[in-house]
Amino acid sequence: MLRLLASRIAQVIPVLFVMSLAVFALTDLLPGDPTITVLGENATPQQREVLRKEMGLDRPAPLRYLDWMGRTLSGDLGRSLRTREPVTAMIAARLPVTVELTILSMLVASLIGIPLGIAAALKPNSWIDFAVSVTALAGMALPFFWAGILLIRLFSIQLGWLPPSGYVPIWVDPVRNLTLMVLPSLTVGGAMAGLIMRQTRSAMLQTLGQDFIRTARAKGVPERTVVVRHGLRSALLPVVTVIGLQSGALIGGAVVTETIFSLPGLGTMIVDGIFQRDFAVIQGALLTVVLAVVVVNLLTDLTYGLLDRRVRLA
Amino acid sequence: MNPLPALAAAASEKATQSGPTLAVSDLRISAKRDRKSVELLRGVSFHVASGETLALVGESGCGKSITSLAVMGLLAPGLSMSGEVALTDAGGRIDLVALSAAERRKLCGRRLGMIFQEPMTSLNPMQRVGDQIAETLTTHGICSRQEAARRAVAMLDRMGIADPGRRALALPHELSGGMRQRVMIAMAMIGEPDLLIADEPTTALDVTVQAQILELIRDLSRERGMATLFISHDLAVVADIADRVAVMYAGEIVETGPIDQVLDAPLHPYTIGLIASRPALSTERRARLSAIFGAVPEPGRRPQGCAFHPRCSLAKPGLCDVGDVPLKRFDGRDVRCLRVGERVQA
Ligand SMILES: Nc1ncnc2c1ncn2[C@@H]1O[C@H](COP(=O)(O)OP(=O)(O)OP(=O)(O)O)[C@@H](O)[C@H]1O
Ligand SMILES: [Mg+2]
Repeated sequence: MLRLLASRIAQVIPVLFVMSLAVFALTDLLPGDPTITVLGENATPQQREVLRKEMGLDRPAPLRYLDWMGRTLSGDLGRSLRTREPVTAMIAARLPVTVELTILSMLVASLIGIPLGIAAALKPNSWIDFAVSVTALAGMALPFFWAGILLIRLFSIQLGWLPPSGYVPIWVDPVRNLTLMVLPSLTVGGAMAGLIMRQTRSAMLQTLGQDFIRTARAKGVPERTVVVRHGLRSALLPVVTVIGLQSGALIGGAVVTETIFSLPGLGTMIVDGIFQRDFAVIQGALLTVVLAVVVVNLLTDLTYGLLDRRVRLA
Repeated sequence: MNPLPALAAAASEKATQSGPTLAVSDLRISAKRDRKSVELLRGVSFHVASGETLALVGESGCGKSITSLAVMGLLAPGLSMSGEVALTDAGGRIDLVALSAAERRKLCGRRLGMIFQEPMTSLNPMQRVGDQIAETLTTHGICSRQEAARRAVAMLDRMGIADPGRRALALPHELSGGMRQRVMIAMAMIGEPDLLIADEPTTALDVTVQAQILELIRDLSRERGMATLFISHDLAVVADIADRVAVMYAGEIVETGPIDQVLDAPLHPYTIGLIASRPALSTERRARLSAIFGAVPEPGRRPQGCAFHPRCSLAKPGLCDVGDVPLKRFDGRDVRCLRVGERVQA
């Protein structure tokens, strides 16, 4: 297990390096002048030139990257050009929102996807199977934006059951927080549920056709136990893998969905940063997202190892 | 071979009166292939009394496994069956075909035990073998979890597995093929079933291990007075363990009778060929027939008349290639051959 951990971490380092290059290049290529962000539209060219020197923007890109990387590695992500607030503090305030949305979405996706996938696998080619497949396809085909807006229209505007947007930290008012999170996590989780459903269905079908399932039945094990204890346990492996592999998309979905529901997470931070040409903010938030995706993938690998005793023992 | 046939016969007679008997009659199984119904089993009938071992023998694909699965009620969903399968004892007759799934489940593991053909794939790869054995007991609420675990270890010990306490914690892939097969047997035996079905329990093993496993099954079934349906494609294996034998060919029983009679003086040309292809069993009298040429017909490509006639050196045109051949009583056995009378007299 420790060897597995070490080798996975070793694989992650080059990935992080490439991603940091990409983040830096992306912000560097972004059109716009950061001095406008700081000085406003009315500053003189001389004032701008002085500021550019001060910010080191006159130096070549590779040097600036090394500078930035050095500071980032020492934990200093700089300050917002606009508000002068430290970027690390901004991330610390917004990360919990994105993390909560991601976790809730994953929960929603699993709670919808796994049981429906099992139901479909238990009666292949039945009407349940058909209905589940069509729903799954629809869920995967709908863009987040559209699904989110549809949900708001239905549940907030027409039925008035749920608030359309806003945010309260979970430690301030847990009930209000969860109520506000229902629609966003349905938006992201619903989209992911289709994939989990399909994966669960096929993994379950494959497992239920195996000889050891027949052995369990020959022992007189009740069908529900056969499905859960013998079937699901094996079938969960590929499902967890898919959830893990999709975590990137999930975090991405959370980031996009935040803006629809005005949740103050990393997603809105990135979007605001882009509109305001606030480079340090964009870079910091993007890096955090990248790091999160990488860490979640790592955790998936390790969970896989825990679930599959054969991997752990090998 | 059976050293005391008279005694064994008497024992099985006694058992018939008290213990349960499995009776299968006119079992037919068909599969859908390319929208056509293909008959895999064409009316198989046999019975096994308690304390008795019936061997089902035949080449690969003749329908041995589907017969046993039909008895257990575990046929693949794509297969359909008709016919009767019943377990009769002093308490009455249980129609296994008519049972609901829940009622059948109560019998499986407790009154019906099965050793599957493939010990590698038939064990759950993610569950400790001790737990898999104990599950038979806990499922039926026969005893507590701790007691079941203890009995599972004792059963492994009985199977001749060294250090059974530690082995019980192993996963199947950590065990050798022979040990896995012992685990399968322990799993089938621990519920002390009335009927044990063993589907080629030794095929994957080397000869020494094979002999040990056979001895285990034989001892346990004698000890507990089980009715045993023993499936094999190997007549030599069967000679050691069975009281009676039913030889199958292309989904039919072609010859059935007491094991010694069938081995010493086989009547059906297919049985003769099977024995001849086992050098240890053949004698000079049959050497001229030697191994059987050709191959088993695929299901759905069954020839007219006797299914075996294209491979039979004694087949007579105009007789063996038309009409169905019935199973006829001859010399204390049932044989499905139209020429058996003339051949034996000649
Ligand atoms: N689920 C199924 N669907 C269709 N055909 C099947 C199915 N299971 C078995 N068969 C066919 O039924 C025939 C008998 O199969 P069975 O497994 O009983 O053979 P067997 O005598 O046990 O052979 P072996 O010695 O190889 O185990 C074979 O031709 C096989 O292809
Ligand atoms: Mg078989």
